[in-house]
Amino acid sequence: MQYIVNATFIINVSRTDVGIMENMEVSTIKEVIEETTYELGIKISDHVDIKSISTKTTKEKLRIPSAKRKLLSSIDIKLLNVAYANRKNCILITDDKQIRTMAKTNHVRSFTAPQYIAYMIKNKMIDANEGISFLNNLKRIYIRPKDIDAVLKSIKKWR
Amino acid sequence: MSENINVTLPDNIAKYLHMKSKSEYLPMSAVARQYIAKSVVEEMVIEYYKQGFSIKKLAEITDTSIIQIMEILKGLDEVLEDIDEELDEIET
Repeated sequence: MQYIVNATFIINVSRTDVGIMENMEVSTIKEVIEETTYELGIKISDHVDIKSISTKTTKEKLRIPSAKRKLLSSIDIKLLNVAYANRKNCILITDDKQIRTMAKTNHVRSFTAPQYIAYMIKNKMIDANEGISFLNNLKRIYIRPKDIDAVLKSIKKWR
Repeated sequence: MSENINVTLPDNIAKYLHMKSKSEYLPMSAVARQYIAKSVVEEMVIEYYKQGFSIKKLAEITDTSIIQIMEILKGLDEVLEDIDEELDEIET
């Protein structure tokens, strides 16, 4: 499975505890790395292993109605196209509600950052305590803190 | 591009701006501009977000960072409608 991430995910993780990315095998396009470098002042791919995906190999393109297209940036569209081309074997991780909706409408599976942490805990890709601690720290800056409450509640049920 | 707009402010607000201008060693117009820009950008971000614009697109339209956009939107206290349902679907 390929985990494709956008800028909101990289920014949220970097501002919380970049160390957790050592347990992740994520990929993105070079444009996302560039925009997060501008936002964070550091090139994240110099610190953690993020695979780069080429947009040139994308044969299949997402059909986005023009009314919806104007709501997205060119980088959003490029990333959605890459995720769409790899939809049988990828999960798009984004905290942007609009990108998530567009992905799901086009049968691309999508997780938010807290959902991805929950997925990692459930699949024993990270230690549960480490994941819970990360989520509690993420809550301070997260766009929808109540989503994190819901995720923590679910994790408690699983354990 | 910028435009000059003359505004008349209530005494209490003008007095506060005057005080801030002194403490921050800035002209009163610069202090007023900062306050107006901050509040207008916040309103723009929320209004456009409700229209369905993505975070990156909002950052471009309002010339604001993605981090600032997310901080403004945090104030909406939103929750994803399908979060519980999706969490139940997370497989091992």
